[in-house]
Amino acid sequence: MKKLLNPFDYVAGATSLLWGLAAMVASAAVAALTDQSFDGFMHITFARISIWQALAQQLICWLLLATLLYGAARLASRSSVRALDIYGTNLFARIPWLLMLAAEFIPGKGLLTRLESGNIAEIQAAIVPLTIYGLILIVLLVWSIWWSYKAFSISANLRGWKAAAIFIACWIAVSIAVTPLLALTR
Amino acid sequence: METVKNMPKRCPSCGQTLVIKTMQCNGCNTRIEGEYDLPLLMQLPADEMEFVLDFVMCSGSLKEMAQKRGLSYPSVRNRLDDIIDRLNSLKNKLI
Repeated sequence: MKKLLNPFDYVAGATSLLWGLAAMVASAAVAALTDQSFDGFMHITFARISIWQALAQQLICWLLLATLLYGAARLASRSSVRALDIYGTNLFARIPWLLMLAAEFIPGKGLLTRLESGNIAEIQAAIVPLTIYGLILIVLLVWSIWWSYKAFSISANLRGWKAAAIFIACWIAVSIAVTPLLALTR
Repeated sequence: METVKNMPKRCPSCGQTLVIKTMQCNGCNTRIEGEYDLPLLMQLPADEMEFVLDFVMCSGSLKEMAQKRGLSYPSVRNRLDDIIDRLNSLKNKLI
């Protein structure tokens, strides 16, 4: 359980980067297969995209946040911060996104497309699976954000309010900056 | 079987750091009395002293220590930084 809540006490550097890259490629493949496109840092919409566009979106989201966090860590941390740890652990922390994207494959495929359709009768007919699906997505989203925070905290050796404040500031900055960049991939 | 003894460093009554007042030679029974502060490294908790010992035995390689302990590199580095901070604060108390 300890490893699930904070894997970064045990994995960082090149190992986390390799696992993260594998998950990123898998996420891009799943996104392309299920027509799920990132139009915001934490927002997915339905749009037909190629695997290269999906990969570009994943790279933009990862690199922008990791770069901001690395810069902040170099300024704020008293420790010698390695770029490999910040980038690698941040990418590893995106693994739950693969599960979020893959959830479209679960029985009842196309649940989200029903929601996007705006057809009230269709939505009402699927309200129970949609609610369960939504709850699962929320858990996965919180898990990814928690892992992202722990990745930054361990890699930068920052704790408490200082780590939280820097993390939130970078997260907000990326959420704003990433949208026009993602638009270029469509 | 020899009993493992842990050397106390803090007074169990008031929590102050203990000082050494008597030392004895087991070879010739010479006894030395005075007042000596515990060396800095000895004032660390047992687990931190063990960490420092491990660090020296790994020739100062954090990478080797991380592999030996099954931890990540930043995790071991952070622990070392915490020990450095503690030693600095102990040193400042002595000055």
